[in-house]
Amino acid sequence: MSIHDAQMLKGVLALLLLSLLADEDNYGYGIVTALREAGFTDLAEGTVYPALTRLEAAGHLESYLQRSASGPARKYYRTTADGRADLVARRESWHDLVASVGRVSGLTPSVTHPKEN
Amino acid sequence: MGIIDRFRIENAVQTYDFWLELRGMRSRRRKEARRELRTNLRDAAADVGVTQALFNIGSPKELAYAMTPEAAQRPRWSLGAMWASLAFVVVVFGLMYTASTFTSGVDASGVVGQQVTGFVFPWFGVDFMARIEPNRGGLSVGAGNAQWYVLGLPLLAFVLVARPWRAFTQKAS
Repeated sequence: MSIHDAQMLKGVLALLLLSLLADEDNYGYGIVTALREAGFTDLAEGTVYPALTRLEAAGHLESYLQRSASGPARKYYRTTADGRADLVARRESWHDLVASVGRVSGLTPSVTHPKEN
Repeated sequence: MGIIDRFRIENAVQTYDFWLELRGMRSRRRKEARRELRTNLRDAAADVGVTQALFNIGSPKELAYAMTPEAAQRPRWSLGAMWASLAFVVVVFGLMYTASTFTSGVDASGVVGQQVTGFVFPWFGVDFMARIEPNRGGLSVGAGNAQWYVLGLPLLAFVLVARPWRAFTQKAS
């Protein structure tokens, strides 16, 4: 099980959420599950749900209700045009940070910058 | 899911709702927030069990605070009602206790067969009355003008805590 620095995780949570939801609409617990499957096993619902609310309030996400087979309707989130633009900006910012940290620390970034593709 | 597990989830949802209301979230948005948390908790409970699902959301109060980084400047009706109820209980208890003490004083003074009226600090404006019948034949107790305290203080507590004027000055949230 990987343990991440909580403050660091908080800083990239919006990027993670927007990235996940850019691929596929999902609901609160479904997003938590997807993040855990991606390796963020220490990420609690109490952190993810408020972040979703903040992104929705900022206009980066929008929501709709969809009935589930197992019970009551779930609140699904999807990215808006603003959210996709914000995601691009956050990805740029992330790559700049990784590159800068790499230069200072001597670590080689293992990710590929989208501009390079 | 058993009744106890449903109750535990509902308890968390209602606690969350209580704090959301205190943070000034409107009732329509709170209804959506309750429904979302309930659905997520039920899904999580089916996955990892109710105890772990509740543990993962943390304190419902903290979750409500995280959901509302800036409390809306709305009237706090529930909190006002709570303090008004508390003020009512304290005033009624205080009046009954004072009237009882006043009656004991009249009894100890040996005055019987006539009504005694007096003021007791700090109940300004309230006339406490007691009448002890001869030969322990009974007693009557009263407190005139006490309605100003019984109704006034809880109303004052309600207004000061609920801040109803916010309904006229708030921005739409």
